[in-house]
Amino acid sequence: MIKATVLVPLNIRTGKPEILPNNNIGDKFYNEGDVIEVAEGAMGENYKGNNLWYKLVDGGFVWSGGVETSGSPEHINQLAGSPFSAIINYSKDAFNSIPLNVKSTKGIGVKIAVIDTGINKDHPSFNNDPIIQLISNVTSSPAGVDDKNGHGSHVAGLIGGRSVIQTGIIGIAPKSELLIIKGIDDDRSTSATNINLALKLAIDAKADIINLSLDIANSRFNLIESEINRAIGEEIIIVAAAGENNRLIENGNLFCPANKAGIIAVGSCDDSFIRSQQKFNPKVNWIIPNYSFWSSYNKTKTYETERGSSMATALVSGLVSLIISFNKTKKLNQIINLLNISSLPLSQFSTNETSLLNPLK
Amino acid sequence: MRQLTITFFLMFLLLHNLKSNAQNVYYDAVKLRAFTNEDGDLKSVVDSVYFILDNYFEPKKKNTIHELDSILRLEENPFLIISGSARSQEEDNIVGNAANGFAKNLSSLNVTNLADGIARFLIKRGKEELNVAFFNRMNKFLNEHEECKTLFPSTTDFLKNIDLARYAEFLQSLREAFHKDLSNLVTGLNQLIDLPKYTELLKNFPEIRLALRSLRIVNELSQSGKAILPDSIIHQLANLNEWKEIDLNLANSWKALDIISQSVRYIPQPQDGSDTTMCWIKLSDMNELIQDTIKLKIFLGLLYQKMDGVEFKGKDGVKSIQAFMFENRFSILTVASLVDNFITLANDVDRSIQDIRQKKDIGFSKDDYYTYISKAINITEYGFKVANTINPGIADNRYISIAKNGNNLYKNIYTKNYNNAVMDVYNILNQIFGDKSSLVIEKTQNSKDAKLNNSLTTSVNSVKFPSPKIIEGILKYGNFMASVIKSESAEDVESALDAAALPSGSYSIKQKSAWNLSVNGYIGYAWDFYKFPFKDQYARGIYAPVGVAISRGSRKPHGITFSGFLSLIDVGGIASYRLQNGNDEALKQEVRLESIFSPSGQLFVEYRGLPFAIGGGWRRTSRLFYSGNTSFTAVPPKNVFNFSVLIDVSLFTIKNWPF
Repeated sequence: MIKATVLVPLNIRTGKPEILPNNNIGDKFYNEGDVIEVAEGAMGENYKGNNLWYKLVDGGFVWSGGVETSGSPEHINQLAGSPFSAIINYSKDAFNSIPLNVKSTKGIGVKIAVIDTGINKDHPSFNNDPIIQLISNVTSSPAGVDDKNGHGSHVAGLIGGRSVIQTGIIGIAPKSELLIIKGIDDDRSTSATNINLALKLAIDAKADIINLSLDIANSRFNLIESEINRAIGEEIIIVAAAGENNRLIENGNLFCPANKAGIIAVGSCDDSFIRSQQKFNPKVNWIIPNYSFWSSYNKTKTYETERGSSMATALVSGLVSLIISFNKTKKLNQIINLLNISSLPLSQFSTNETSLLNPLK
Repeated sequence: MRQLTITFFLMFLLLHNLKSNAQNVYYDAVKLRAFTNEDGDLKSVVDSVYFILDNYFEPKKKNTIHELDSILRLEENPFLIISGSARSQEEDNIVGNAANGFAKNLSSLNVTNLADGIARFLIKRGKEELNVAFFNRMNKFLNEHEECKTLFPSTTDFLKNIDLARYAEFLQSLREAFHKDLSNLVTGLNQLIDLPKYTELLKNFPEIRLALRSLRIVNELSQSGKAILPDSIIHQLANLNEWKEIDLNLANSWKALDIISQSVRYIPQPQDGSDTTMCWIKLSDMNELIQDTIKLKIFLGLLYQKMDGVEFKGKDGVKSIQAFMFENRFSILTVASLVDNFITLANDVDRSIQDIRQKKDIGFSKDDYYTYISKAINITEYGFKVANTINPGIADNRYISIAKNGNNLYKNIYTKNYNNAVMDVYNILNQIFGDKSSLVIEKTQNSKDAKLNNSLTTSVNSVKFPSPKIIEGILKYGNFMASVIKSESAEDVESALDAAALPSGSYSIKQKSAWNLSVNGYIGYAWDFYKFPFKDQYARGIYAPVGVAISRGSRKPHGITFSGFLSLIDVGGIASYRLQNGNDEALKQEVRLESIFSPSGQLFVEYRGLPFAIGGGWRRTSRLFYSGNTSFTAVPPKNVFNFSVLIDVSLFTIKNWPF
């Protein structure tokens, strides 16, 4: 079951998911702003190009085009089926513990450098927004900044998707400025040399946050160390993927560079792992439940689910941008402290809720 | 039995994808070089990287990609660095599956196990009886022949003292007896030759043992293709358990040498025209490797893994090759020189082999042999040089001197590969005794002295030789014993017993018998028709049914055999795929039970002496599936009449009634 908000006055169809005169017993309807409970998706009559209907927990159907769904991405996934035909608003529906006034900044005025596999800039979730800047491609990919892989677009969508239509992704910080730097090869592999070049570009572009949903070989850290230090010196917040589950425990091996000082380390854990009362590595700042998150993708797939600490990192980068935007601070410790206030201890984790968990709280 | 193995191997492939075979360190390094990033690190996103590396990390275990990734990220190997990647999670495939995630898709309906189960059910009872009969025969044979009792004393005693009907309870003890006998094969062989009944033979031909010890190895070294090549000799010698008993440094010197040798062993590559006479890669290949630092690092990284546990004890304590490599990780050319020097020696041996082979037709001198063997021994000596490089002054080469005088080569019999050891014994016995010693006969034929010839011939004819039957028996039972020892599981022991105990179901048996009942397979081509007599063709293609056949043979040399055949399954589709793609290619899609379930009743005729069966009958076709890019179509089973031309592959005989 998930909750959805009615956007326009909407009839309840009682027989089939179709618009028929005798299919609205009692002329029941919902008003704009009503919250309804959806049991499952159903394919029905095609209305305005959309044939996805929602079956309600209390019985009856409503046309999906008239509601905005909420809840976990996995539920949306179930409802939406394929092809993707929903709008997912992470800005609104995820991280309920973050104050609304913080959320409402939507990351405005914050520059987030996304060092990844590039971006599918034409994707509807990015709305051809001119403040999404294509900085450069430092890899040997002939595709330029265009995202052949999909990972970069997925990450960018989670951070700052800004769909204005009824289908697409709205990220955590839909008004942030995204600086897209292609530093990961099309096959998703990284090299420290390329990441170093990408970091340099991000720092030169005056990013406030650098999102690293990636890792490099630990023994190659020396190749990026000087740029990392430069970024820290210029009060740029670096958010990096630390790994999943066992990698995050006390004696686990966090990914590099998330394991280095001055970098926010974000992990991702399965439900059962979160509940298993593990002792986590104190270097891990936050954990996000390891769901399969829907987001924008490459031109071939358009939308796709992905999971892992890449996605967790992107979501936290978005949250950090909200803090920066709201509090006008760039101090790492302050940002961490402010976000910690809104984070939840592992004991308060609820399945199917995308929440910011603090393993040390 | 071979046919049975082949038939079920086809099925076996359905569930067990072939583990991607690593070639050796050099070729793996060349392959891995293609999967490196700008920093020269191995790309963690390329599954092939893990498939190759899996052979170097905990090779006995089937690692998952994530497990292997975790091991690599510990960066304990200073030469192998695994790259980072975008950090979203992938499926955790088992390394070694030829196609990602393929195995998991197969698991829902285990056709192979089902078919295997049916086959096992059919043969289980008969097999048990046949096994008992086999042990009875073995017991009788060993006790009847003094040579066998001498060669396999523990086994003979054991079999004599147990109730053979309860053989299954004693398999472990039997295995120990087998092991004892085969590990004492050299002693046993000497005792056999020393049996009083052969005293006269040895008295007349005292050089025979020495000749055996040297000429045999020399012959094998110099024979092309099928013979033992120097790299194999190194490998065999390195694996002798005796080294460890004598001296651990000595054992590890051999092991280091073997690892280096194996790491640069030449494997014919399709793209380079392939000089198949080479044992090791060329010096130029090595130079190319050294010039490409990244490739060299990968090579050394793989070699580092292979050298796990190879260490030398010296005055200053124990030092491993890995420690030496780690110490020199920043001067990799020092490490590479261990291999580079070997290649120089190895190429010298390769050239000698080529020389000898070129002279084969015009005859080659003893000097050629001597040069070649000397070089081969030189290369074996290199292991000690490596040992002394790692930990100076810890290994002496007195054992190489033994090798040089030829006695050490005789120890080839002691290789851990007991099947080979038994085959060696068989060859030696054949050389001594077979056809009244080909060695001696050759000697008499080559002599120009007529008197001497007469004398030698008389001597040869007067001495007592064991019958070929005994030598064949030693091979048969020795091989069985070796296979049992080698078995790592109960299933392996069972297979060894199958191989030895179950009579071959050769087509010729049924053709020569009054009646024969067998589990039978056929493979060939068939035409299916909607109606009898063979009208309106429905389909045609490879047909490979497996079932039970009852046959009526013929006394006449060119008679006709009639077989009635009832089958349950048809693996023609798989056979067809294998014929087109070979056995190494992974199957592209799941094979369902309904795809091979095809009951039939057939009548075949065979002409005596030929393995072909022609016939026809009724069959219900299996359910067929066709998949395109976007569609998946099923064709339901159908009753058809078929006509087929097939090869008779008798799996084994259940019962045979001779004329």
